[in-house]
Amino acid sequence: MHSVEGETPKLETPYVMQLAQDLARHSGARQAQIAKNIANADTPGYHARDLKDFSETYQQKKSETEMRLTRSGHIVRSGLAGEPRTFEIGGEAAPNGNDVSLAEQMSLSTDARSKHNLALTVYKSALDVLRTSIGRGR
Amino acid sequence: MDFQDAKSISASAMRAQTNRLRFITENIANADTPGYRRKVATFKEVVDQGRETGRVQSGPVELDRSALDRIYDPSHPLANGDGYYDGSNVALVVEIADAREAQRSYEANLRMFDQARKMRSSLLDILKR
Repeated sequence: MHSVEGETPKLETPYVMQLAQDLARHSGARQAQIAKNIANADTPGYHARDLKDFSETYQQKKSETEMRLTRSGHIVRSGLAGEPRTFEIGGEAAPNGNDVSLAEQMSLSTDARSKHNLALTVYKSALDVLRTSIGRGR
Repeated sequence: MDFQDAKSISASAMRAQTNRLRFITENIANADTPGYRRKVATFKEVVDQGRETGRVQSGPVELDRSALDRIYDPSHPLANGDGYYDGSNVALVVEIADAREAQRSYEANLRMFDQARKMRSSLLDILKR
């Protein structure tokens, strides 16, 4: 961090923590999407949706094809701003057109949960490192 | 979308499943009521200003249109000239199976609710240190 005269020093979050935050946010959103799928397991014509894997999406956050959003009410392709893009999982549909598989959703949610745990653990230990560096110990 | 959303979505689904279970109870209670048609719970997604919210609500009640059971009992006050009267079209086996399914769905939603709660509380644990 280089300081410029007259400018208030800015606290930069370490990259690891930034990444952990993004992963936590992603798996939280994923969990909400899975909750949506399971809630609609009996809704006729509902198609199960899922978020793209974090490893595919974390780098293309500011792609150039994305429309610019300057306030939260702006509408992007998939809905309101800030809502992640989802895709249909697909699969065999029941006679009423619903293709939610509870077993599959359960395993997805376990996955989301463990990713979330991972993110929080990484964040915590990064925080520990920061604390140690300012001499506070654990 | 965050955990609060996830919890309210799961809660709405649990409410809808409870409603379904109530219809099943009513059907079973009225299995011997003459002329009773079994009620079927419907589900639909809540749409808020044209946007799908993911929440679920029970739609209007539908009555099963299958033929009523014809029961032979000449001594029954409702019996016609041939001694038959219309019973209900409730089949207990179907109701039990439906109840089991409602219970499974309810459990799945409850588990999702609990998981969202746990994830949120582990997030708050960071602050406690």
